[in-house]
Amino acid sequence: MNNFVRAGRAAKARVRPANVGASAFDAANAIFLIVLAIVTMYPLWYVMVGSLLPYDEAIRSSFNLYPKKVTLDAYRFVFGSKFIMNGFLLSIVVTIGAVVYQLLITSAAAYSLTKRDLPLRNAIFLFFILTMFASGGLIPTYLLIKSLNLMNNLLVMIIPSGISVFNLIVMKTFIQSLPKELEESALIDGAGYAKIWLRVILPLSGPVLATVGLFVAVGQWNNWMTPMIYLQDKSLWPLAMVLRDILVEDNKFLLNATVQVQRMTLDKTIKNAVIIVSIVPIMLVYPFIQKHFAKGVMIGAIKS
Amino acid sequence: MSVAMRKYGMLYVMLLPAIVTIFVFSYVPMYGIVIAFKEFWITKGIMGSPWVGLANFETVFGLKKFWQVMRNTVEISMLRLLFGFPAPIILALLLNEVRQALFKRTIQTIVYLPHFISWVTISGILFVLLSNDGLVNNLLHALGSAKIQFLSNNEMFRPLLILSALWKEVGWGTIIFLAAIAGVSPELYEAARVDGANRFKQMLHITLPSIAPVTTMLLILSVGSLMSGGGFDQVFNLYNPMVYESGDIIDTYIFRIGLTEGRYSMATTVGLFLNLINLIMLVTANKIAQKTSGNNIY
Repeated sequence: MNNFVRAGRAAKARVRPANVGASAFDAANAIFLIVLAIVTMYPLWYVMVGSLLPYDEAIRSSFNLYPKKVTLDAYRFVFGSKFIMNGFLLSIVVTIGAVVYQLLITSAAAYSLTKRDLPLRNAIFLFFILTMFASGGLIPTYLLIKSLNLMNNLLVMIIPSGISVFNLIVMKTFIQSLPKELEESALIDGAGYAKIWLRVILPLSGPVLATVGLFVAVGQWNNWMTPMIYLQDKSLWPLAMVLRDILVEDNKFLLNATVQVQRMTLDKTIKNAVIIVSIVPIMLVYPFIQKHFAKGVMIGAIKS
Repeated sequence: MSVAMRKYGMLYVMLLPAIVTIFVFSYVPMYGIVIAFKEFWITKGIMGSPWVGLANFETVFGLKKFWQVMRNTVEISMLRLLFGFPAPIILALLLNEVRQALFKRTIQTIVYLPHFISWVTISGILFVLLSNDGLVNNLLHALGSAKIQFLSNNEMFRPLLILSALWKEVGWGTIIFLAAIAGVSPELYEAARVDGANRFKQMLHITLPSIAPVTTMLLILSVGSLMSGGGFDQVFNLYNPMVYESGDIIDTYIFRIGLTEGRYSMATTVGLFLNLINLIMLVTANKIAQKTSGNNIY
């Protein structure tokens, strides 16, 4: 974020010509940016309004700037749905599992790769890097997962994507930038590399663990493709896949609902509520995400 | 045990999970590519299936459908680059001209947000907005024009892809350029001011040239990954058979013939062909980027 602050200062440090052209530009620019912000937010607002409308309002008009009458029936339905709530829980479990697993193995590998005198270090690094250029593709991977008996197994969400080479590079860059003195004094005290990694490197890696952890968490929270391919058992579906089933595949899950819910709440009102429910968790962590992701993007960019 | 092993053994142990994961899930599937040269039978497995030489390639290259998705992929990727690449630069320049820090930060916070919403959810939103009784069609109706079936109209599908991708990514894309702009020395602007350059001229003659290296690098890399543009998530959640003609891309095609129709060998053949193109483009882009910047991107 510091960069933005600096950008702001740099802009302020510049001249402020009092001529008409400049202030006309400023006004036009501000209006354009406000319109852009509205265009960005309005679809979300529209969906939110739609999710709160009672049946009679919802069928009367599809254009409402704000809800004239509010009902939480759609949300009551969503939170009462076993299918959705089960997915919600599974998403939390899988996301936490994937974050912890990836951070541990990525950090351990990244730390090892910072040791310049490690024999075969370059060869190992190349072994990782090459996979950024070539892959087996969809079908060979599918056949492999099948032969490993990972179909209909939640571990398929965590193990195969256990390490991302991009994240490895980000972590390696960060660990390289840590002061060497702390590590050296631990070495002199006779600590082994594993101990140093656990006691010195990991505790100092807070910022990069947060950055990479958020990368992984958002990716995992939004991951619908892995379950679509590898989890046929609907009771194993995380939220992203449940959403896809409802929003994209237009699964008529309402048919299972009670007659009363059907009469009171419209299919599209419930869909609106589902959309909002899928966005809210991201909104909640968004302040952290924005701070750390921007940093992560920058670390990645400095490397390139 | 050698001295080196005693000293470094632990480091190799710490590398092991990562190495095993990459070996099993990245390199082993590369071996599976051989089924592009075989007639794959599930019962016989990868090893036992009979070799067929280049027969799968002949079949694929003979398919009209294959060339159609190739052309779609190239055209859609080009359109993405044409609109998706300059848009964040322009937005970054405009944001940079904003003097009120709070206003600027508010706009940034808002336009970064859609980056984190998945294409599944965005598709849901688009279906709500564009359906027959959705917002857009009701507006059209109110204005007296006919309703449009956006999601099953081949003329509308590509603009829909480009616009929705812009909505999702334009804000996030500014980060890298804003950081590059922040790195420009204030003295340059002062010197320009002394020379009487107004803000537009400063933007044109100082800001843009200063971020040119970053821009060039990103452009080269974007061109390099043109065919691996990652449009799968978006297209797969938005398209339907009625817009295959304009919207079906290689990745979605591979998915359908492979996993929906179970033609494993053919899907792998198409995948291998795409991988080869990608590899050549990426390596070339990396080479050019190295020459331009004087250092390796890694």
